Amino acid sequence: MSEMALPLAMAILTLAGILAGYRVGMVLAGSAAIFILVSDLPTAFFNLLVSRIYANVLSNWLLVAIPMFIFMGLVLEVSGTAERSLKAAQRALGGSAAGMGFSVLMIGILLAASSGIVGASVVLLSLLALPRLIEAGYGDRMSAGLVTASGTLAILIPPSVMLIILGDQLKTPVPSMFAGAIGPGLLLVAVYGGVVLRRARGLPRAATQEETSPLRLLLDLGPLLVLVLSVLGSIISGFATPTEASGVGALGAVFITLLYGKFSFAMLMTAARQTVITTSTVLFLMIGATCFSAVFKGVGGDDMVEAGIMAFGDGPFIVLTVVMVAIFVLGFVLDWLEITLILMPIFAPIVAGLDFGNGLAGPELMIWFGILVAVNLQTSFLTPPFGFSLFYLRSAIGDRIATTDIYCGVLPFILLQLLVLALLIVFPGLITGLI
Amino acid sequence: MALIILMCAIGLQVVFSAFDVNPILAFDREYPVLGKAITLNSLLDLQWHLLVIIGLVPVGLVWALGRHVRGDFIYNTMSTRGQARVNLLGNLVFAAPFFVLMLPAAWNFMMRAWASDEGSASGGLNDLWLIKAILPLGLGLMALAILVETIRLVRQIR
Repeated sequence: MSEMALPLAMAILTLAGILAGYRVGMVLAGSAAIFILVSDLPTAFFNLLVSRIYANVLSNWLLVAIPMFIFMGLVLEVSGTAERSLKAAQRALGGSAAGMGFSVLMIGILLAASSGIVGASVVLLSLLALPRLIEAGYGDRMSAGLVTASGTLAILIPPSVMLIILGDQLKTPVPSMFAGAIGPGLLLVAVYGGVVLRRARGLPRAATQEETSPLRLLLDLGPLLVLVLSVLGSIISGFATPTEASGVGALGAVFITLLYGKFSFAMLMTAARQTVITTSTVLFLMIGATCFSAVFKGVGGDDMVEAGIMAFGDGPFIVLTVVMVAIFVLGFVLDWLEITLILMPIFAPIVAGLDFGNGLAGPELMIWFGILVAVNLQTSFLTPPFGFSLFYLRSAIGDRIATTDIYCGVLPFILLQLLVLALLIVFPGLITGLI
Repeated sequence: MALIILMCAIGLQVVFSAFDVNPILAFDREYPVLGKAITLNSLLDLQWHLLVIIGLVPVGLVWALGRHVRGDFIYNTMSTRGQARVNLLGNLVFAAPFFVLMLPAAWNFMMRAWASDEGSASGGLNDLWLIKAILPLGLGLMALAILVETIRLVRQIR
């Protein structure tokens, strides 16, 4: 039991630091330093950490894609290009009540594939689509749930920063992660679509229908669609690496703003500044997490976690369930990035050694596991009280919808996501079919 | 002070736009005429070098701006004084030991590269100590930002 004392103390100290609200990256880095000092690890261990930070984080060419994708999304958002395309999609589909609901879903997918920023997606959808959903008769709860759930697709549907970081942590190729996420993403959309259809039955058609010419529609939606499809297509087909595609995608986004006459240096600077801040935050969190996981393993933390999981039973599906429940529960209080960076280095080797009897092994197994984690983490955006999407929704709409109504509204969508998660566990082909 | 911060921001953004152009050049490797030269690996190296620069140099600035990620659901319910206590305690408990161990290690890491005149393993950019110097530089600036913050917090709490 004594060999458990150190890792346990380290986990508790870290969790306490995070819960108290101190900067997460520094909590991780600091507890690594403290436990090098109190354990019998040599202080020279820090030289090893520096080499590891340099090799895994700093000179990691794959990570170059992260600021580029963030920049691409921000350029589209800040310049108002995303909004313009959304309005077009809405005009095209907004005739009937069901069409209105579908347009929210379609816009969610489009935003997901172009920007991949959950905050931006949810805020845009709440501002543009939420009032019209309520107008169409969906009711406050359903409208709030649909908007947050559709906006949150941004984190799952590629190209997504989450999938890049997950792929990096699990040592799986990012294009395969992207390809693997498409099936589950579409499945979620289909399930949401079913909800829309059920809810929209019997609702009256909208009284006013705006005229749209197909040419106008093509002009407003076309460039964004081309950008999204070419970026995604080139990655998944293997024509370009994620890093190359991200750079070209960012340039393409700037080009689209030029096309629409929305380009300005002020806009570019706002987007660039925001990107630098986000990138720097992610990078420091990665540095902290690298220190943490190395020292946590050094004091025997991985053995402790493994023993903890095995205490529930050693069947592969029991282990998987424990891991998934742990991620889901932590999702109530932690961010996807922290969960990925802290837990994946610990969980990945445990899962990699399991045989699920479904014919998956090696990289395919890790991709399957990675996508399961991704779907699971996506749910954490919706779980009250600390789901980020709920914050974004409330910040966008103010007090127009009561908090309890928002919570009730997202509940069915959370349950549907867990259902999809279960389906993906039972039918891995939904993920691996497209790789 | 504000001017320096602004200058840093502009400098970073210039670096960033240079970074933005990069992948076009990387695209050149689709053409065999330009490929196979040293330029290819230099460009690939340049890309992550720039990532390191835009990511690490501003960590201190981002710290000062208060933009690093927090688990803020309890933190947000605290009074300003309570938040100051958390930050001060965190700086002393977590940040201080980290920098005491990290800064010398990062410095030595750079010096080893300098002493051995380390170059790219794949024929890319040479003088690797330059980019390795960014780690102690960025973290050093961060330590400075945290030191300033600590002094301010001590004053605030007293």
